[in-house]
Amino acid sequence: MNHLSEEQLILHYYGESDDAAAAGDALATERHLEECGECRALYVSLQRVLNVVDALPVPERSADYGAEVWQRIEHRLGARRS
Amino acid sequence: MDCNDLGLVTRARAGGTDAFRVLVERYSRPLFRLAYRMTGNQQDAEDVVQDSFLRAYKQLARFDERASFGTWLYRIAVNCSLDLVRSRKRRNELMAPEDSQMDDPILSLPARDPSPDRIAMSGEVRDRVAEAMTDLSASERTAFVLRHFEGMCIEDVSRVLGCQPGAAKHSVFRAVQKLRRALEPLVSAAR
Repeated sequence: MNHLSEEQLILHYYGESDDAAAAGDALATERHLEECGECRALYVSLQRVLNVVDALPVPERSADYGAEVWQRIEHRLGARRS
Repeated sequence: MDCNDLGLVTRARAGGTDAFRVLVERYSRPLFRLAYRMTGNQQDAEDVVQDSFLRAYKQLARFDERASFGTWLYRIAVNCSLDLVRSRKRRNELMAPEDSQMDDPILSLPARDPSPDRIAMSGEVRDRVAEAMTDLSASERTAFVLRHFEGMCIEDVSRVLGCQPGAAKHSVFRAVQKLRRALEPLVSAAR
């Protein structure tokens, strides 16, 4: 098996299958990653970068947030709908 | 009482503001998270949430009942976010996460080496991640946020973007490739 492309590794990371690939593609990719140090290193690099991106914080909103939003927009609904 | 999205939309179309209120309460938090990922700014995200619901209410008659209300609403929120980001760029404002007291992304990672270097690096990495996100094009950023943070499949991403799945997939590819090239050196240095 040739080396995996960056696009194949990205698809593999997200658990998406390539349209052109066979059904067993994910297993074949797993096997290749076990055997190929070069592709494994690229995949680990990809995972580390995406883990950092994934960890960017998002401010939490309380369970009442939806009710607060409703209070803010309720009086504007009538004027907006034609 | 029919509390699924479609039932609520039907009642809201007939003038039932209580039904629309349930939809607002149901989707406000996920919409805020999406808007924050898209804009990188709390106040902008708040504005996007409100404007998205106002636009959605105004356009309820146009909603196709065969579609997912959530996907339709996300599409509206994405467009609101992009409008806002474009207007903000025109004002030359840079995106930067503003809550320094929030959990640090690097410190949230499995701690292989909680050294002073690692901690000192974390603020820089956070800024670089935010910067790298702003360097993505609108379609790349949208596709990436929906696929990576919202966990949407490519098919659903393409519905939100209003494009073919192949185009959505390539937007995700380009986004991840750009992020990797921008951040890989920093991530390696932080190990």
